[in-house]
Amino acid sequence: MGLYLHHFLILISFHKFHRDSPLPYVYNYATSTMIIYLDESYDWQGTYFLLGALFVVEDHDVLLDTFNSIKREEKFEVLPSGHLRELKYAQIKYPKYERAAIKAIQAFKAHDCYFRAVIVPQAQFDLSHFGRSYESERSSAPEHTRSSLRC
Amino acid sequence: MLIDYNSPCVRNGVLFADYLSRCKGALGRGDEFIEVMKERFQRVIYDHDLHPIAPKLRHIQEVDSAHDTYALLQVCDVLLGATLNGILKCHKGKRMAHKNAVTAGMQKVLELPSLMKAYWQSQVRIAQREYASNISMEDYRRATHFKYRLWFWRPK
Repeated sequence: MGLYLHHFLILISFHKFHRDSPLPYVYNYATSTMIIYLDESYDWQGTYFLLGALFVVEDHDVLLDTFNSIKREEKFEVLPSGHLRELKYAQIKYPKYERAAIKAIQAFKAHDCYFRAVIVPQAQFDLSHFGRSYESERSSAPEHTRSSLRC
Repeated sequence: MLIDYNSPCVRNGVLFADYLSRCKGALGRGDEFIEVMKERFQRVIYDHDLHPIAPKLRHIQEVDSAHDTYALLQVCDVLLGATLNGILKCHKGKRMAHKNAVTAGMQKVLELPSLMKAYWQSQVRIAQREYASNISMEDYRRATHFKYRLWFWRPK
């Protein structure tokens, strides 16, 4: 009886661990073919809206490791979350970010992947659905979406 | 347009989109991007013999680019930002020096003849022809400007 109770307690604690686990869902790359990363960008002067996609044909993990190694080489700090500080184009204000960005582009060139971007004049649609730069996320409540454009 | 035209013969692909925080509705309704993409790319299609054809994308997810697992979104962000900086014709002062260097570096590394609209609009027909002819991935990899392409969209 004690043994059954022991198994039951292990089962409960296992279930609780998984339910409360803060780890995000991570996709199993090994079983997939092409991996596409989609991002968007626009200028506040109101000229263009860009949708960009990075298509990784093969060896996704090699490219990912190379990129993370570049950031370590350039001494990107490890954040309290355990992840390396992000490399964002908007924040390229120092030489080390510039070097990391150029190395990332070189790695992109060397690997089996490609980049495509669609450039849309902002006059074609209303960007106010995305809110203003000074608004908090909660105050920008889009009524419509532009999802169809991204297809 | 962006996905369909540029992924010839791709089946069972995976799409990771940046978590678009500014598109989230205050009442949690949010952007319908994932739903629209699933409807567009994950629908099961049958061939003439009623055999199911694998969908173009089997997994679509919004992810956080700050996570090391999805760090390649940062590469996409750098390429996109460098592109936007390159196509804008506004004044770029000293504060933009490092960004300008990355844009120039991108052009040099990828051997791009230009980032100007006139040049890339002349390339659109090539892409349309490829799509219409159901080009194979092998041929697509050998095509002009395989590594990097811009599409200046204009309404019909």
